[in-house]
Amino acid sequence: MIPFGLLQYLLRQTAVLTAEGIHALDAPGTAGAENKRILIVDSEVSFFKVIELPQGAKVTREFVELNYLHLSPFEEAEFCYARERQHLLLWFYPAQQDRYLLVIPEGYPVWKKVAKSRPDAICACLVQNKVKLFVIRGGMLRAQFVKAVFQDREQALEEAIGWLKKDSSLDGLDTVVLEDSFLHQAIKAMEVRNLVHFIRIELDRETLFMGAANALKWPLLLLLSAYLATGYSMYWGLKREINNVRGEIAQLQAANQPLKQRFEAQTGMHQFWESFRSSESTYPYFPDILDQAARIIAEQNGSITNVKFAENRVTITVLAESIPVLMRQFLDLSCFEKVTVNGAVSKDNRTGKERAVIEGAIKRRTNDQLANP
Amino acid sequence: MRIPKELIISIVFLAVAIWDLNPRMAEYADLRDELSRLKKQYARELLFQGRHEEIEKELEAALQVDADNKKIFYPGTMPPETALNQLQDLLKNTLQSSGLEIVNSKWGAPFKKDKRNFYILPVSFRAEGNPPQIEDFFKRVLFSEKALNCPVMSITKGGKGKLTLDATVTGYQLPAEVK
Repeated sequence: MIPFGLLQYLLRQTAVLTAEGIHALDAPGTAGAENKRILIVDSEVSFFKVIELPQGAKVTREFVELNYLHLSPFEEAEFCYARERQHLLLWFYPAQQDRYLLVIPEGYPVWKKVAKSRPDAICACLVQNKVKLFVIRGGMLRAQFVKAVFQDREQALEEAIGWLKKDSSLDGLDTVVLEDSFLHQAIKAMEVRNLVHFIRIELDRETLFMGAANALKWPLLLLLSAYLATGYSMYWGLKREINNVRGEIAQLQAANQPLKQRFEAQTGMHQFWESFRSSESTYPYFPDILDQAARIIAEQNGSITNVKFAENRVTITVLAESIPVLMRQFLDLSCFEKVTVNGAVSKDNRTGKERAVIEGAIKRRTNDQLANP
Repeated sequence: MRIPKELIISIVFLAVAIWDLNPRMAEYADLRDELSRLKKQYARELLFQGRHEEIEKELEAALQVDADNKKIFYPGTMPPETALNQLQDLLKNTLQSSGLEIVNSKWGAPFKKDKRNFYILPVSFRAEGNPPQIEDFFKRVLFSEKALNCPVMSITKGGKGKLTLDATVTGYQLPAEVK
């Protein structure tokens, strides 16, 4: 069975080819058959033929066209076919301008539906002013006929069946009279695998391209339009925002600039003072060192003969009771990095004290001392 | 074969997307970074603007410190000879105030140390006196109205129980661009 949703879609997409022309399946006799995808070929306009296939024949569209197209009564014919065991069921119909995805001969769904319960029967159906007859024997559709009705419909139906039985020697077959809505019911009862026989997709490059182009043109256009619109609006929106922020920054910078310049100038002066302080206060004030040295020497009952400061060195010529003791006390002072005795220690004969030239390397001030002089 | 016009427009749009929009989208991440950087800069400028009054006050205080600091230098607008002359006068007064007797005095050429941008003005002298006078002199140098340093000095015993002080005292002059 065809799923309900798909079936509804298929029925809406179906047109019927009759002797009067093409009309939509759901609105017989009226216009609206354009742009349909499925065509049902009325028995009246089709020519049906059953052919026994040779053993091992592989049935393709080309095979049918090459071997059996000459059987068509139409000058410009199209055909549709179905294989049933070793038989080929072949319907010819006049060539159409429009292309259809599916072309289904009317006799096929009728035969499929009836043959399930009645493998041998004559099916008759009165549709408007025509009688349609389908002959099923051994479960196979053998023939289809259409006769025009000129008098009473019931009588015409009986006459047509009688005519068929007489001419075709089908006297023993049961007769099944079908309602005129039977075609709808037969289509609804069709199985998907049976539809496959009638698919008419011509896989040439142009058709494929145009089909794809027509199917994709709107989605593609909408998708690209949306992409471009979104992309450009994001990009230009961001650009605009950047320009706005730049403008606001420029305004603020203009307002801040005078104060910034003064601030930077003052920062320059601050750096100048720092540079001055660090370069000129690298070593402690020499008189302070001399003051500390003099106090130690005095404690040792000593005296300074000579003192000299230059760069980071102090040279003191000293007279004291014990130079080694004095040296130790000098080293204990935090201002000296190193203390040495220049030359030899001599004895002063007059006072009995020791004389020496002491040289001290002065320590640099630490960063803390520089920061807090 | 007639190609639908919607498809032609789509192809044009696709070309625009590939050749124009895609490079812009690649630039988009950089623009977002740029915006983020600009917003931070904006916040900094806004903060600075909000602190105008506070910075003005700090600046006034700093400028006062600058003005005080400048006083301990000889002005850059003054010729170096004038500055040296004034320094020599200052030292002469200091030595005399301490009771030291000046034997001689001379000034050297102003110079810059390393890449420092201030001038060092050296004045050398010899003076005689007793230890308390020398100590007093150095205290006066330390607390002088101008910044003074004593990078070289020697003290030797002179005649009549006096000490001889040989020293170089330096003063400082601002560069001409510092007003």
